[in-house]
Amino acid sequence: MDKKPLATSIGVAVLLLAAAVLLKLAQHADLISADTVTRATQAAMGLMVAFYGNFIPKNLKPLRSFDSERRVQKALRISGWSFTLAGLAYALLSLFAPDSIAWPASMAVMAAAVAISLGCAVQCYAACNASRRTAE
Amino acid sequence: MNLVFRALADPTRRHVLELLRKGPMSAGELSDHFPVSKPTMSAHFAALREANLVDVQKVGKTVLYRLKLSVLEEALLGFVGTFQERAAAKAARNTKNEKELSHG
Repeated sequence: MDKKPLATSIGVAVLLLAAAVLLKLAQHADLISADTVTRATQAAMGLMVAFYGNFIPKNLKPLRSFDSERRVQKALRISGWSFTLAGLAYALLSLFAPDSIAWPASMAVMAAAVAISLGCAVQCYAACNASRRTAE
Repeated sequence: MNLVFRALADPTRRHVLELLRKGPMSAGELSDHFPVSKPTMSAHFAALREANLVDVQKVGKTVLYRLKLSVLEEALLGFVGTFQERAAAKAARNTKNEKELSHG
């Protein structure tokens, strides 16, 4: 098992937890408001989604046929772009949008990224299966 | 990141990455698209591999290359390509204007 991605994930999780604790401490010391803590934590989560989305297209592995690989490559690319952009949009909306818009808009952006990725994955799976059956 | 910038700075390497966007290709198939010698192409492939932009797999005697671009690297590839194309077009326009001026 490759230990590098695991170490990176643990590092990111520790950073997020440390940031949350620091923000809470700052709130208790009356340095920042509760709203700022919520917004900053949401923004950090958005950036984390963007960070992981950025690396999705790098996960292309050798497959049985070139056709399947092409389809998987396309699906990974679309998923990567949608999660990266959604993560950035989520972070920006959480930081700067008015209260009434921030939550529904950021959720809508994230839901759209999930829907796009799922759509691509299902389409890719169906196409790969169909081409395998034809080959058999 | 330095290796990535160095790899993307060369137009041949950028063209290789654009070809690999369509899907995995063998070293021979990729080399056919460029009028350069095999050692030069090998050096380009090595630079891309070093920057972790491509993945290499040996199948028998064939060396297969597949794309390994992150979203950020792909965006950089697009930006560098666009700016270099614009710079080249501007340089060509300037040369044409200078020639026209010198011919009166």
